[in-house]
Amino acid sequence: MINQDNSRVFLGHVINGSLEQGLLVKIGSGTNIEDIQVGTPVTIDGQSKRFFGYITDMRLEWANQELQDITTVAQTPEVTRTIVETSAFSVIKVRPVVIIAGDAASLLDGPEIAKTIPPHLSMVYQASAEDVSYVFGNEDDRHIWIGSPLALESAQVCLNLEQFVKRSNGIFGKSGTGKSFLTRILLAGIVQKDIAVNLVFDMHNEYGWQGSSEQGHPVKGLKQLFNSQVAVFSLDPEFSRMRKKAPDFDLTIRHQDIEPEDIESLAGILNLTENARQASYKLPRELGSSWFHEFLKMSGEDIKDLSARLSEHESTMLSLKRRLDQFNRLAFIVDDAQGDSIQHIIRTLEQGIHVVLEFGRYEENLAAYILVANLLTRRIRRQYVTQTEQAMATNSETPKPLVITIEEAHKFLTTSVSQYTIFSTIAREMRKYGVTLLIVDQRPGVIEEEVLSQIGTKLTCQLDNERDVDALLTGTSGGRELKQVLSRLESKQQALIFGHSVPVPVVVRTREYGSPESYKLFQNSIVNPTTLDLELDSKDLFS
Amino acid sequence: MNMSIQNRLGEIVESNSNGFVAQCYDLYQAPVIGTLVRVGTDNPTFGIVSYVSTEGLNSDRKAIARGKDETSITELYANNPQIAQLLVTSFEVVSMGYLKDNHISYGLPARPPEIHAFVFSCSQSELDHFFTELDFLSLLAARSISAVGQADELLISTLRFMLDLYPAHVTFTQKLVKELAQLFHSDLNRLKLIIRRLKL
Repeated sequence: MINQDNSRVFLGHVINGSLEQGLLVKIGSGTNIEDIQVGTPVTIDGQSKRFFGYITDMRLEWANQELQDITTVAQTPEVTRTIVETSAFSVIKVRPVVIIAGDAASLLDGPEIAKTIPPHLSMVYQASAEDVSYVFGNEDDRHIWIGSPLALESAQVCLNLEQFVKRSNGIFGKSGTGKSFLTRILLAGIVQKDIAVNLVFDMHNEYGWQGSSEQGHPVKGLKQLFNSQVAVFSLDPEFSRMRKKAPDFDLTIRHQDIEPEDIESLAGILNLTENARQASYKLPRELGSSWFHEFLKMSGEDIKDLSARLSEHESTMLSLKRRLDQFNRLAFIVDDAQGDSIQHIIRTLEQGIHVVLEFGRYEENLAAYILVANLLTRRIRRQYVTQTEQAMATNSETPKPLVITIEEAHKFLTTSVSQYTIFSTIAREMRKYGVTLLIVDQRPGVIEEEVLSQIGTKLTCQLDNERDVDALLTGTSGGRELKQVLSRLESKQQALIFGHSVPVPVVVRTREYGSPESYKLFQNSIVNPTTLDLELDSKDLFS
Repeated sequence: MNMSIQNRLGEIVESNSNGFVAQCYDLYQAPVIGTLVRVGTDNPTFGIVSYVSTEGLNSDRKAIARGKDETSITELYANNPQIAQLLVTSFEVVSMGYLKDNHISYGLPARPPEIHAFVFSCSQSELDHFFTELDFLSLLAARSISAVGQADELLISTLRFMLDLYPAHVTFTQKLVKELAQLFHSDLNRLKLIIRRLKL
């Protein structure tokens, strides 16, 4: 049983510890250690400050080590237990992260990083719903409710989306742990709060139209929730029609849209040699803007001639062609005659309409995914860079931030190939041009360290692989403690959130997504008071 | 008979700060070791019987063997009625606390009880009152060896007396064991011995 004291749940007293290692808290005799979970947020009433942190570890202690063999003495287990209990006690380890108040009653203007620790015998409580909302904010036009902290279902942990989209972010977790749900919540939040514009490379066709839960129940996608605010593009119109969900637009890639850089980004997946990569850069000069098409049409004789003209080895050119041949079979790569649908996507995004690009039956074709994602992203980023630079030069408004959601990033952001992709550039330059990534992935350990280190906020569901866990926590303050927390996440609907947009790392039970009530919460758009005021003001002015 | 006379165990013949010696009115009528007794009626002192002895009335005159031709000890006493007059039973008590303003203070009384003060057995309510807290156990443990010259015999006897008072009281037993464990946390062998002797 846990003691209730003025609705605050008392856990114990600080008995030992350090700022670096965390505080040791002896739990009160009325508190059962089994009721406490690692990752639970707590507050500590110091003498003149109130601290907020989380439980990182717990252990059983003996005041008297010798008592450990007393079990053989007493005839009845009750007596043995009584003897043992006089020496045995439980300790939880708490990491104080921020200071939230000068005393137990009043709050500071905002959480401050804890640069000190509370004294001996300070009382430790489970954080209350108020504490949590103070630290993480309340749902409003900038904050989105993500879930509830452990042991405190009534509290809401919110994420500051405005901060969130300023950097690239990651949602990690092995498959089936709720990554897609978390992604849906965040994407829906971004649409609802109108914080940024989304471009989702929807590899498995689950964000635009309906996706499905682990149990197979259908869950609504962005298009169903926000209709006209979202445009679904499809690379595989036939697939979309088969499921009787017609996309808003079909996406085709013209031969001339393909650039040597796109081939380079595929170097890893196509296993291209350095020579073949270099050679691809010479092709446009020789064959013109439709070089891709021209090159793939070539016969063995043509290749021989071409190799001679470019002074490349014939074998290099043949292997390049052989590896690129698979793109000949992709129906969405078309002749130059058709319209520029990439420009169409860019214009859509410019209008503030969110774009979900469905891959249809190409979901298994990783090369197609990387090609399209790279090609589009590079074009879009180029546009953003130009617009941002112009805006800065003329002091006008910069374009609305763009969040690009990519999946299976470990397949193309690995150490060996990430340097060739546009995504690693975007992760590195961060918010400079208002374009950031939302990486959804199950193997963060394989993603290039430098890219991973640039990720602002990490939302992590359960991960098994030690390498993945280590990769995520490297360089994170309190990483060792977080590892304890992370390794004990439940396999579903639980995530550890840490990084740029949360003041304190926190484990949440993800909010529900999939019921009619949950959809309603996203559809009730919160009216931005500043816009409303402006409208009223202008009415006054002109009436 | 008056209740106070009925419950009377003896009369103090020696007294000091640590405790007192009381003489019984009848031969062999001393309370058993470990019994809680009371001295006085207003602001009484409480103590634990630590030692019982029966010896000649005059320390110069030792008892001698008389039963060569007797068939039993009862017969021996019956045939020698003077024996009861020549021997005396007395018991020693270590002081453990006193009552003041209806509140038990554990520890030694400020003044030792007076000579000839009456020693009484405790009523159930007095026992309950005294054993509410177990703070006297540390004093008892410290005195145990010096009182009887045997390690912890007095303590164990007292604990038995207490456990017999509340035979089915699990909470009391738990409380007692807890107190002992805390008391002997630095001397586990002693704790183990006591627990074993009490058959807990």
